[in-house]
Amino acid sequence: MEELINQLKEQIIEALNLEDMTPADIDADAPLFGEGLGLDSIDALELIVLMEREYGIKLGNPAEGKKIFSSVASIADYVSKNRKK
Amino acid sequence: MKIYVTGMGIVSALGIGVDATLTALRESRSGIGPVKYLDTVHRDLPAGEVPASDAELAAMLRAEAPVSRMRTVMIGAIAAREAMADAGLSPDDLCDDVLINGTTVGGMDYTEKHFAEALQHDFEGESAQNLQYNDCGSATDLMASMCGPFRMVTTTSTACSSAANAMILGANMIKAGLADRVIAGGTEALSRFHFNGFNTLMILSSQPCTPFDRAHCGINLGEGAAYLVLESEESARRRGAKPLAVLSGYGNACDAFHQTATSDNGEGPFLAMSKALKSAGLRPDDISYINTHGTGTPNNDDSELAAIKRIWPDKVPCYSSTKGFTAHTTSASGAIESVISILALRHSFVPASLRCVNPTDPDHAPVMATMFDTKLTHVMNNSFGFGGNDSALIISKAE
Amino acid sequence: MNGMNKCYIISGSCLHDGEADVRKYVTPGEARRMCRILKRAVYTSFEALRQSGIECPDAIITGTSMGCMENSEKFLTDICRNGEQLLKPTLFMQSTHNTIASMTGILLKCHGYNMTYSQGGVSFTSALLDAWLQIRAGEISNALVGCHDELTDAIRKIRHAAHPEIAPADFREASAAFMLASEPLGDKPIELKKVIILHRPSPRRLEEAIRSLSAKGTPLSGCSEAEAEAESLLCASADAESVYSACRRLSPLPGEPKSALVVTRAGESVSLIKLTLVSPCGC
Repeated sequence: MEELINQLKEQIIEALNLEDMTPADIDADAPLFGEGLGLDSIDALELIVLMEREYGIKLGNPAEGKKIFSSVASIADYVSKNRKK
Repeated sequence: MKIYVTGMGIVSALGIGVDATLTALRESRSGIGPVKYLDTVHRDLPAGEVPASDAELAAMLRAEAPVSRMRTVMIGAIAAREAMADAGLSPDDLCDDVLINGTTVGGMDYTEKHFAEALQHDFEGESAQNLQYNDCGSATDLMASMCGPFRMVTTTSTACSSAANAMILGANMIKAGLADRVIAGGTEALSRFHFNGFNTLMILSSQPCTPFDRAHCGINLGEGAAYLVLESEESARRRGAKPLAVLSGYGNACDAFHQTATSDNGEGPFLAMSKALKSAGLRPDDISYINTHGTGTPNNDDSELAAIKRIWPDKVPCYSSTKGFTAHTTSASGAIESVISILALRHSFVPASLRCVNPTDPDHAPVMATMFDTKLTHVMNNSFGFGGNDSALIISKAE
Repeated sequence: MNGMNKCYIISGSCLHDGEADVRKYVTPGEARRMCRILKRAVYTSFEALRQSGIECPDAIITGTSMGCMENSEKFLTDICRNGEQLLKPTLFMQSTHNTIASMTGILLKCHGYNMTYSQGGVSFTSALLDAWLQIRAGEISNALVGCHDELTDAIRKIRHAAHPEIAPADFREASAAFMLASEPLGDKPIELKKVIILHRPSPRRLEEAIRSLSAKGTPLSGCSEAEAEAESLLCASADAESVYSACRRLSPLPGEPKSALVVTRAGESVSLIKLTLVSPCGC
């Protein structure tokens, strides 16, 4: 799980252009949206693309993503249970 | 000073020309259907395509030189020529006139047909030639050369409010005495580029759209073009041209909230509509119908209705979205819906928000079945673009 | 109705090729999605605003011939390489030409008039015309007017194919932003006397337009039409660059030019912009 979390952090930094951040700067349990990293609806869409490209997980509805994308830990949990690749 | 509309032309999924459009509107016949002409893998997403192939469009233009193979230019030229003829103008009359064209995608439909080949050749030599003059300004220049000699030509590009903003600049130029007559509007053909672009935002509907319905299934993209001949009262009187309508007010404001989302309270739409009322010197209850932006996404429809309720807290005027007919014609929508608004004014009807069955706000429901024999005086027409480029126009009956 | 107010250029900023350091003006969070053209637009716009002392303009009006080209090209390339799937929403969102003006509006929380023109080499002149007529009509009292364009390797090659005499590396990209106002503020306010755009003008019409701008006894400086055409081939923002350099050349010192006519010939349009230095005595 630790490995997946780190991999996800790197992928998120790249996909969302978080240029100034390193994986160590992201708390796996901290909220990604709103207060946390200050991500917005477009970032959520970028994460949906990332999930499909890297893990073969298709999310048809942005509303589904809301809960899954609440933190890096929650994404890792969902990926580990649903990944197709 | 009054700004008259002395001619108009339109091409959309409802057909070619004002008459075809009027018939479809009165019969509540939608132009939305499966994709036929656009080369895309997304066959599950319906669209509002202009019912003619590129070859058929070229034939309608009788292909005299110069010819353009850009669909955006072809539908634009057809609509602009109709507007000029409707105003009783021939190309020889236009040498002091201004053409203001709203487009965002420009010649992208042509670019994307040749991009893969150019990419393969690393944009060297001949492969680059097909990509040379496809930008928005070049598309407008080409259209201008197919319609007549104009004194000045320019292009507004504010995404889905481009055509509305073209009309605003046109009216401002006439008021400032910089032109007697301006042909203003917009054109946009479907492209794989923006079809896929909207798809990445996950706001396209796999069914015909249902603006202001609780189902909120999203947008259908469409294509089309429309132009209005805007003319000073004096110029129209001088040449004995009868006004179809009056462009009596307009407002442009920025939501300044997000690149793709509208603020919950609809600040930009609220400001645009308020400015339009002020510039027309009208009170809110003077407005008899609002042709909304009404794209069919929950974000747009809810914030637009929130903004409307801020201006009309007691009684919302009758309103509808005609995107259920034409689909969302993006850059052209402001002009297309202006033509529809003028038809509604002149023929005393209010087109329905098609397929709206369970309104999001039952106390303030849109017009769900076309209303006939309804006298309209002033129509508000909203156009909102990406980045919060929000504009509202008020079109009034000519006395 | 014909212009009760006057219109002045009260500040300006211009940047050429390369990336601008925007950290002075925006947070890393705000900057993270910005491509090169957006960074240059932010830098020049905020610089012009800072010099003018105006925090939030009444209007933001931008000209760009190709918009955020890099993003558009990446999105098209992705469609070609990966098919119509797994495409990036950010690239599309920032591909429309109005991204620049609307993003500036969002950063400044500026709800005023917001507009974008995209008419090749006279995109900036179109934006200037809009600001000029609204300030003169008293609709607005000031406006941030900019012009921003970026080149990619592909665009350089495509332009070279059309103009083989120009090497791909010789095409320039530029950004310029100006504050316009109805009051002659600042150190060296310059009156924007007139803005004219002509489409395929006949020699006679062009001559008449130029004559209408050259009031008796007003010496005009500016580049020749042939030079203007060459400049606009090299740089899509040539009209904005020329206005910037003309503003710098005007000087109250004896023997220096007091007014300038900026001529741009780009594509099928010719634009004429007349600038006059406000005399220091205020007369």
